[in-house]
Amino acid sequence: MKVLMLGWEYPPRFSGGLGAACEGLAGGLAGLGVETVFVVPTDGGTTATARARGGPRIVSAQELESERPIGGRTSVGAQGPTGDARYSWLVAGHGASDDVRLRRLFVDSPLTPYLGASGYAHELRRQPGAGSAVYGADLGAEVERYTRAVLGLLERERFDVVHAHDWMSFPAGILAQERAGLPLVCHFHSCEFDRKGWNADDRIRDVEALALERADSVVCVSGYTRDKLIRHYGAVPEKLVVVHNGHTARSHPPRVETPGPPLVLFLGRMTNQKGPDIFLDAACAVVATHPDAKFCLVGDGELFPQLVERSAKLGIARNVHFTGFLEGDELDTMLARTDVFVMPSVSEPFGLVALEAIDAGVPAVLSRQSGVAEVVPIGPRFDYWDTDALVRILCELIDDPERAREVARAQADALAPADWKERAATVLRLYEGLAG
Amino acid sequence: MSSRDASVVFYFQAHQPYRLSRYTFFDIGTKKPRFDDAENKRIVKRVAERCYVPMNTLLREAIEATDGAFRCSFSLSGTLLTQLEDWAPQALDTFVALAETGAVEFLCETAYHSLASVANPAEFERQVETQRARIEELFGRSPRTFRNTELVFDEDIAKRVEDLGFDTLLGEGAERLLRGRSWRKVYGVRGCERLKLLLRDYPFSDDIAFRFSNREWEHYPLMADTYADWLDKSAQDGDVIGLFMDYETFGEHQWAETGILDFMKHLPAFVLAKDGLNFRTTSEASATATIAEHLAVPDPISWADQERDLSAWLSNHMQHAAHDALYELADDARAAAANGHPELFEEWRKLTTSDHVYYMCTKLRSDGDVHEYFTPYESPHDSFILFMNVLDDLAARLRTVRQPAGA
Repeated sequence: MKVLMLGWEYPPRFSGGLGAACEGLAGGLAGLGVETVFVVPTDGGTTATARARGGPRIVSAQELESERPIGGRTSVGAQGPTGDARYSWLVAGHGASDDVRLRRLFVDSPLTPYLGASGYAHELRRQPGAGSAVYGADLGAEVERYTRAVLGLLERERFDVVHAHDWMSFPAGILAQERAGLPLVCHFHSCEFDRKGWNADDRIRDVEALALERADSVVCVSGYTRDKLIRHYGAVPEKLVVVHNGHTARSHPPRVETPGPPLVLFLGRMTNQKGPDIFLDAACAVVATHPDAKFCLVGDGELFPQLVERSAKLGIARNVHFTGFLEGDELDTMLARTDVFVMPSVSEPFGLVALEAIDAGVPAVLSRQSGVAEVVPIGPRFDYWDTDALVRILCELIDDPERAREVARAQADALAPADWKERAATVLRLYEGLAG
Repeated sequence: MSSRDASVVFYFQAHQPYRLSRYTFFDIGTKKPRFDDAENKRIVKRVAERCYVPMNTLLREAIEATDGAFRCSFSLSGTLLTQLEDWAPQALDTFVALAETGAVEFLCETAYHSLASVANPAEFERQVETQRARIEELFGRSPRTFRNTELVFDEDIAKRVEDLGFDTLLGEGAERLLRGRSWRKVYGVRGCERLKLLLRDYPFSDDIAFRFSNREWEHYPLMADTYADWLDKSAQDGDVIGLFMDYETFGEHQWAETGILDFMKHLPAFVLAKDGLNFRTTSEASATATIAEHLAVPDPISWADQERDLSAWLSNHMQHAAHDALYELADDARAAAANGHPELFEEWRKLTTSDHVYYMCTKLRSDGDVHEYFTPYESPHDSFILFMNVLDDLAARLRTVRQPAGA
């Protein structure tokens, strides 16, 4: 079995759970003897790291392009089905960097997942030697550049299945299905509805709807996501398979049990979807009765400046700390110091960070609007709109550290079977059914 | 015989803050230094080399060449003085040499270039006394003129300045204050008796401080003789023309390549060639004038930004939160000094420097460029986070030393 995997993040180049999930799944499949070629937009050190880990073969779109430039402006071509408006933009931009429709498609869409247009521009500036030679001029151009690179790969190698992760790689997945006749698996780690609710970008929703229609099989990271896809996209239930994210336990530094003030943690992208403002509201209420309590917000995102200002406005600037994005040892250190982890997501397809926290021995307080609750069926829950409930839970855990430790232990025990290898086995059976 | 006697009053403000370390959440409670002294040293040495030393030399030569007819005034913040003592002592010597000419007046301000005047009157007075003693010790004369941080003043501040024994206060010639009156008269402040207010002539000051190097400006490149002609044409008998500006204008904000130092070198002779234009220090100009009128100043006025108010330092929630949190520690910080930890009080006072909240400003418009030029941080939010981390750490330290040792 040889799988072409299309993704947008892969460790160490990732901004969230998507990359971690891709790594876990690809690693699990490798363990089952599946040959996987994973295409990510750019290298950024990923290739070497993954090779050293003995994981799947990681190919960067950049690498593909430099090996074999996709010459001419018609390689993708307008060969797709005509008359389908949802399809037109997938190919609209082929080479036509002056195509106004494609550019505008993303430039005015600052809330696109993982990287909005502004986030993309920020990333672009951060890259050493940043320039249009390597990266598309904007996110839309980058999606298109990536798609072309994948098609170039298909002309040289044969695969049994194509497996695309989230909307940015769906265009390439659909074209691979069409051009090479491969069975298509689309994997929803999140959907536009999760990210933006009723403010969804219709153009992105259209891509997701098209993928749901074309895919031979759709993997959902949770039952929560499966329901969303049926309810908001009219997806055909028979095509949808729930494969929860797995989790590989790893060693964490010992917990820091100091008599210092209690520390409550938010960890995630600072977008409305993740509910950081709910976290601040709760912090404000908790501080009223626990003036020493500390609240840490770890992560980056478009709401960052607003949240910083809001913490000041609420009068809790002395209690709230912002660290920016953390990973590796710094993240471990943070978790080791944390007394309570909160995931106040408004709509969370899965929420891997919750598993990370539980694995580190931290009790996790989860919003009911999250998929991860399906694999951690224990511990305090609240509806994201019910700040009062969250405040009651936090005060209880802060005031009763023994109870907090019990919750942490129970959640860790419940987590034990969440192994990636088992998840990968489910996916492999799916491939075998499709590749027949 | 000239019937005109107008004063041309140059006052230069020299200041450097102590910039903070990249103080993250993880640094709180560690022994990491709160201030980035490598960076502070690098900058003060650079500014000394580009601005303080060449300009001081140039001005001293101008004084000697005119037999003391060229005269000017300086205010040097205490945080700058300490940095010069530690890292650029030769540059400090050149300031002392200026004082020895007898043609240069050194003013008083708050020792830490702080906003204590609007936050904590007792700390304000303490910082003024600290600075007054230091200026007298360094330059041999007790200052008679006061300039508050960024020329911030209102009636309350003016009254306190008068009560502290100063004769003269510097202010911005803001339209909001003057409402059509001339900024070249010497005024009193409502509620004060004898304190004289000298105002900044912002058009003439900004010609040098901001427009000089602007190639888009219709008068670019500005020559010293042209500028002297302008002064000559516009000055009336009894006028006080306050040319108040950052000293770093010369060679740092505007590099020597712009010709700004040459401009200043040639200006004194051109001005003195005009009938009835006389350079005076702030105290001298103040002494020659009588109070035209007492002005009402209910709200603080400053020389910053278009608004000429406190909004550069205290407008958004971050600035207010940081400012309030800082001054909440005032008593603990002073108590620490009494309990054998003067270094903690000193560090707290370095945090009172107004630059720290200035970096947190989120006002946009034309002044955003000026703010961006001055900030060492990536964003106002980053500077707020750093400041609050440092403050959190300092607060914890202050709590631990609240009990006197052995008590």
